Amino acid sequence: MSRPVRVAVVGGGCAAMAAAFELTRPEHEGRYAVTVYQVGWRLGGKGASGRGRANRIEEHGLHLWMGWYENAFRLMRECYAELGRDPATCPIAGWQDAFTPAPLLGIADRLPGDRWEIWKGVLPPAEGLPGDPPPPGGVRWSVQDYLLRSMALVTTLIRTIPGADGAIPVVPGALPTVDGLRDALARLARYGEMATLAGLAQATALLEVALGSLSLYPQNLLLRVLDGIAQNARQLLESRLETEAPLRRVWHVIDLTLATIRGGIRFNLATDPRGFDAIDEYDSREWLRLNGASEGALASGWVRALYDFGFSYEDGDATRPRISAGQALRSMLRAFFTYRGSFFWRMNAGMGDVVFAPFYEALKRRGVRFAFFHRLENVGLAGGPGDGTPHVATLEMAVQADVAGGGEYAPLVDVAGLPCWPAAPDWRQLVDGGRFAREGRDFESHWDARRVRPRLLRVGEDFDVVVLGVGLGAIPHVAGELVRRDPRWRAMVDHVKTVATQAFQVWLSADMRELGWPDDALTLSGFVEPFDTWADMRHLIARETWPRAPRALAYFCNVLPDPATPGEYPAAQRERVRRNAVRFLNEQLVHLWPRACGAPGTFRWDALVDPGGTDSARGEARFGSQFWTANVNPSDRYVLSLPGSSAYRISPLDRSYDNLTIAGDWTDCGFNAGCVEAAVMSGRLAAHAVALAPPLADIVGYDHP
Amino acid sequence: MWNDRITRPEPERTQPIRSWTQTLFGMPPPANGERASAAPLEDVVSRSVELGYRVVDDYLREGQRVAERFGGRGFGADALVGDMQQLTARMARYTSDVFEVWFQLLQLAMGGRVRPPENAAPAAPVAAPEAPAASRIRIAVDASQPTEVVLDLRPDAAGRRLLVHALRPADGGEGARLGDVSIEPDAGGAVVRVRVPPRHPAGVYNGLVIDEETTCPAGTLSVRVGVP
Repeated sequence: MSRPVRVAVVGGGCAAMAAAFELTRPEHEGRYAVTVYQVGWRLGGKGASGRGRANRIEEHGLHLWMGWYENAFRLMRECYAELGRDPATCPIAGWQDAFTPAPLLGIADRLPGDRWEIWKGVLPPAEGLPGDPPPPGGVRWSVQDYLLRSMALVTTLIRTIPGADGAIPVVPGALPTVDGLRDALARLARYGEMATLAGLAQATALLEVALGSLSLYPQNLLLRVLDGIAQNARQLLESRLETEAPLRRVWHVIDLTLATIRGGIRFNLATDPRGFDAIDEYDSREWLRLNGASEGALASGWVRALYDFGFSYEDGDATRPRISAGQALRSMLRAFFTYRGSFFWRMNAGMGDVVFAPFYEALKRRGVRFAFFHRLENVGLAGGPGDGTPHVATLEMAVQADVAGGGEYAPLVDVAGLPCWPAAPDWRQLVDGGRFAREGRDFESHWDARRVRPRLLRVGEDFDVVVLGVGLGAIPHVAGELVRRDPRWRAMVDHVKTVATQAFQVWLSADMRELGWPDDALTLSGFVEPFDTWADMRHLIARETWPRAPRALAYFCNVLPDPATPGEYPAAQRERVRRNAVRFLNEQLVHLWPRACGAPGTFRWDALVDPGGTDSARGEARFGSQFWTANVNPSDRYVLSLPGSSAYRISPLDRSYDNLTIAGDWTDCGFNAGCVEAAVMSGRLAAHAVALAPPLADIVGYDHP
Repeated sequence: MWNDRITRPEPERTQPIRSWTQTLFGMPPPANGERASAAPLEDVVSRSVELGYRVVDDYLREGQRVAERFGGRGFGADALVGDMQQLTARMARYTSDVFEVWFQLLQLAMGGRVRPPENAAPAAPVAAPEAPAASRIRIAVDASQPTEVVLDLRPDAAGRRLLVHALRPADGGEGARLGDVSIEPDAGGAVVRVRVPPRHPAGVYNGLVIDEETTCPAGTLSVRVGVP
């Protein structure tokens, strides 16, 4: 038997772990010997979490898994099955212990007078579970499936209209038929107002499209008159809908759905070989507007949530929402119409505990080696014109710390039977660990360049193939030679932009009802800056070990604008997040939690629970006991899907360098947006690039419009 | 030294298949950027798309016509109260009809009537459309006019409990539907029953076959009714 192929996987996020998992499947019979090189002490990348004081979970931000994450769920299910954890001793033994359906979704809509209105809806459970085996021959994405599900969504929303309950015949467990939808709308017509408004508005929308089709409908005088009528009608309707929220929401969804269908037809998406990439140059809102969506619908919480969930604000600037229309359409169709089980799935511990600890354990069992405390500083290239095939010749590493005794670092800690990642390294395992702790070495900080020694990995000696799985923001810093030498890489880092994010978590002694939120736990987006997204994470309290358990737990997150002066990083940004959070709690949160303030403009700071158990700090200072983060490290920056940027992404399958592949949600991986699923897809593609496995048809959603 | 270097294999392709037609019909991907010749397939799809556009355009013209009548009477409370309910139902109908026409066009195109490109590699066995292996489908027609029935089922429809909705005229018109159609379990398989009322308008009538359990489309039923 020939020697194994030595694969250096650089990075420990979802994409890197997926690649390592694929390359070490038993089916390969040890063909690939994988070593993971990871900066600092923990895996996870942007999904890393740590256990802090009181074993509280501290995340980079809010992480929810969606029901269409087929590749990600599949790998997790396989991972848990392979581990075979004992439910008698481990609280999260199987994947269904790890993930729980979270179907309650909230959208915040701003009303005149700085008022907010919250729409809450339960998206119906869908057949199957994410990660279920695909049907023979693979999954085929079809227009009719999407449209059928769109009707189901519309019907679900119509049912939220007061008085509409019972008006729409719904067969339990069945999707509505075309006739059913038409009957439902016709029935609404008999209820009067909504039907009148929607009917008129639909007529106007159709007129606008007809007028926009110049080749078919010359602009004669009559049509211009009709256009004026349509505009007047829409203005009237939208002014009336302002006061009737349920009617307005239904109208917005119908309006956006119809605009999407119109756009799909007008832009020939059904047959364009580029699929939805044919409209990649357009911003999503701009494209919907082009296709007749009303301004009301475009300003609605639905559209804002689309931008919010994807952190789609260029340079973190809330006034510059931008997302590729093609990728947005792909995202929406996958999210709403292909989810299985639940729309959202929440994790029942930190993402590190639920995802990366199992990956670590499974990969260790398979013989993967983990080299923690290794920071990549350069990818050395060789070959090129007249000098053989371009390839990676060296990986220049900085070793941040040596492990005492020379063995591998053992990264996990036990929290009530669950293997978890700590929020800080175990200094005792490190040579000079005590000193490093006193010096405050921050192994994960891009700005802390201290190291104990360099380490040069050479091709043919230390590795054969490289899977570069770091975040895109880090590429100029860890692969500068690639960026300098290769115009495609230069163009990619210039055009595929990233954004910093901010997040904070608060643990409260009052429960949600006392704070004025009477409903079940939900995930809400479309809310005010600086924190537009909130998730009620009360279910995690039981996973932590508080001396006096909090009664509520909330996560907030958003983009973080880049500072005017780069030198402000990183401490100044962390302080900025703290100030943002304090201001948000004092001034904005009351719109969601009406009893969150003791006095107008003053948050109930005494409701925050200090993990030290002292609760001694008073007033705003109590916030210091909570958790907040400014994700400003280059590798922590979130990749955007800006209009026109897809063409600059490089695929993991690209073979410009014959022993290099890349993995990350920033690659051209079929789903070009920042999320767990894109990362896992990319990791699987990277594995395919190395081993021709898994088959491309097995990577669900790669071949998709 | 470098000659011994282990390199990555050549992947079969480096880009996803974005084309809806390729994706829908499960065509083998072009190798390394080579564009597969798929003229027959594209012809069929083009015709389907053209037909779809024609239907949509018809609806748009109808929308214009309705709005013209509406606009001609002025825009006021009377107009709102007057024809709006009818207009609403009509617009809802336009929308749902567009949906349904597209279902039918694409469903028909997926039903195995499309010839693969001549130079395409043979499809993998699991991806090839095939008749339900474990089920026997019997078709029972009760008609006084010449009638032709075509049932297209997806490969995974075998052994499933199926239902079919009323069939609509394929020309998108508002003519009579064929409502007396059903799919019932039969010994070891199923029987498709189609009853064409006497003097029913000639034409092609299409409808979706639905998997009762999953409520997902499982195929199409197409009935051509001839002149009495």
